[in-house]
Amino acid sequence: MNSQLSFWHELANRRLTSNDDAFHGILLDLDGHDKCANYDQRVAALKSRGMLKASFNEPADSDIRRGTLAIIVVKMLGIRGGWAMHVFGPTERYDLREVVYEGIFTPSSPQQTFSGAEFVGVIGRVDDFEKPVAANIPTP
Amino acid sequence: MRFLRLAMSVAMSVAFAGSFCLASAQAADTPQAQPATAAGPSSQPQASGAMQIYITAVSGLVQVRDGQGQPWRIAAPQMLISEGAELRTGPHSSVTCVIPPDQTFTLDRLGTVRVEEAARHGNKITTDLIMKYGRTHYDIEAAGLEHEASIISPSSTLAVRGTNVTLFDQPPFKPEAISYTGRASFLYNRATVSVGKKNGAFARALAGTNGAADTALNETVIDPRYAPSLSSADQSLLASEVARGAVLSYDPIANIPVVTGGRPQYDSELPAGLPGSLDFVLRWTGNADLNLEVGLDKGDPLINILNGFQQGEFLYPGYGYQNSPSGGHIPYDDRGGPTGGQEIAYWTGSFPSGLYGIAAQSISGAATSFTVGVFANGVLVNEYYFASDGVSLIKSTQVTRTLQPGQLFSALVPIPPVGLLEQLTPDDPVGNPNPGIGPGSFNNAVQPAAVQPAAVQASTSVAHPAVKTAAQTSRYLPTKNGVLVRR
Repeated sequence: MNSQLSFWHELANRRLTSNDDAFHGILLDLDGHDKCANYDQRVAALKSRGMLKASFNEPADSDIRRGTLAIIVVKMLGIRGGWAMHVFGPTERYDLREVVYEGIFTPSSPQQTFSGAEFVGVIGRVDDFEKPVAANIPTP
Repeated sequence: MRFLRLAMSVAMSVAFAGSFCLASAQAADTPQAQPATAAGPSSQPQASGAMQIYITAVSGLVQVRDGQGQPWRIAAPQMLISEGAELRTGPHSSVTCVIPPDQTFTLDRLGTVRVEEAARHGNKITTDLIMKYGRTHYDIEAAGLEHEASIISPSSTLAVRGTNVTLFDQPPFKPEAISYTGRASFLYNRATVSVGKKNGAFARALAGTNGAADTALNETVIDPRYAPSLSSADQSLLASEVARGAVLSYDPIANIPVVTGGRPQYDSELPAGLPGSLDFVLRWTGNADLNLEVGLDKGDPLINILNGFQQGEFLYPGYGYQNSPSGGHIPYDDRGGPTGGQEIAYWTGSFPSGLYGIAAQSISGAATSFTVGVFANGVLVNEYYFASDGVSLIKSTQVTRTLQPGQLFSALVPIPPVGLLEQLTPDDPVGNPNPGIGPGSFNNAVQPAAVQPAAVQASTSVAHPAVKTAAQTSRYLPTKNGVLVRR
C-alpha cells in the first residue's frame, strides 16, 4: 500500500511518464496491484487483455504517447465510440478523439506525451468516468 | 463621361480587405489567498488555539503524515490529526475529515492536501487547506461562528463562506470550482469570480471564465450545420448545395459553414433557387476556391459614382464579415472542387439603395472561368466594369471571365439602375448578357452532378445528401436553354 501511494505521488512530480511507469499505473488502477516483475511482463499482460497492439515494441524508458494510452483507456472503460471506431477498430487517432470527447484527455495529438502530473490527472479522470465522485460529495 | 470614368477608376481601385486576428494566452499564476468571512451570532464557547481534526471516513488507499518530512502512515477512521497534517489518496480512494464543530472536507481520488491552518480565535475559525493537486470538497455549516476558510491550489484559490463547495485542480485540466449551495469566491490568474449564490443551486465555474454562467455558455454547443440554427433561407440554400453533390462542414476559425464539392447552378436554375430580394451570385467551373466580396456605398448611386465609391458596408465569407448592418448576408464559404462552386450574398425584404461593388477573388487553385450575376427582385441588373483593354467601361447583366490564381475581378452595380449610365455605357462586346454556365460549361474529366431544379427547391434537409454520380448524370440530356430532361 505504501509503495503504491508512493508510486502515484512521486510520479506526479516527474517531468515525463515512461511506458513502464504508465503500464505499472494502469495495472494498479485496473487490479489494485501489479504482479508483473518487469516491463516485458507488463506489456504481455496488457497485450493479453487487448489493450496494447500485438505489434507494440517500444522500450520501457521511452515516453508514453497519448495515442497509446488512449487505446488502453478506451478498452479499460469499454467506450464504444462512434462509427470510425467501429469501422477501423482500435486506432490511436480515433480512440484519442473519443477520450477527448469524454473529457478524459485534453485536446492533443496521438504523438504527444504526458508529464507525471498529467498522467495522474488522466487516471483520476478515468476513475471519475467509472465513479464520478466520492460517496459523500454531492452530485449536481 | 470623364467624371464617370474617374469615379469608376476610383471605385474599381477600392480594395476589399479585412484583418483578422486570433490571440489567446493565459498564464497561470500563484495567487494569494483571499479568504471570505461569514459572520453570525455566537453560540459556541469562546476558546482559542489550534483545532483538532478527526478523520471520519476512509475509502481505498489513504495515507497521512503529521508534517512535511514525517513518515507516511495509513489513515484510519477516528484518527486525530492537527495543523500541518498532510493527506494523500490513491486511485478509487477518498478521505473525509471533520474539524469540529461545523467543518467537513473530503479529499477525493489521487490528490494531496495539507491542513495549513485550522485555528480558532474567539468566535472566529480560520482554516486554510493547501491542495497540491486533486479535488477537495468542503462543507461549512456556518452556524453561529465566523469562518475564514479557503482551499488553495498552485493556480487557484477558493475562498469559502458558509457553503458547500468543491475545488478541482489537476493537470492537464483547467481548475474548476463548484458550489452546491451558497456562495464562494474563486480566484484564478488575478481575477476573482463568484460561484453560486446564497440559497442557490449547483453552479460550476471553470478557471479563466467570468463565472458559472460564462462556463455554461462556453460549454454550450449548437452545431452551425444543424437546421434549427440556420434561417429558412440558409437551410434551403445549403440543402440545394448538398443536393448538387456538395459536402457541408464548418470552419471554426472563419466561423462560417463551409461547402466543398458539388457544382454551381446553371443559368436555367436561376433565379428560382435564390433566397433574397437582392442576390449577388458568383459561380465558377474550375477546380479553384473563389471568394465573393460585396461592398456598399449607400445613397443615390449616381451621386456616389460622381463622388467616387466610398465603401460603407462590406460582406465576405467568414471572419465576422458574413453579415452587414443593413441585412446583407453570405450564408457559407464555398471552397470549390473539381466542378467549381458557387457563393451567394443576399438581402431579404427591402435592400439599401446605393452603389454596390462586387468582386471575385481567387483564393487558391487553378485558373478558372467564373460568372457574376446580380438579381434585384429576380431580375438581372447591369454590372459596370472595364473591358479587356483596361480603359473602356462596358456593361453586361452577366459577366463571364477567366480568373488567374491570386487575381481579383471587380465591378460596380448601381441599385436602382441609373438610366443615364445605361445609355452612355456600351454593352460588353462578348454579349449582354455574357454566356453563363450550363451543363456544357465543364471541360474537366469529372462531370458535375445533375439535379433537377424542382428537386433542389423541394429539398429542405441537409442530413441526407442526394449525390448524383456521373453515371446518373448521363441519364439526362440538356436542352438548348440548359434545362435537363430525362433521356
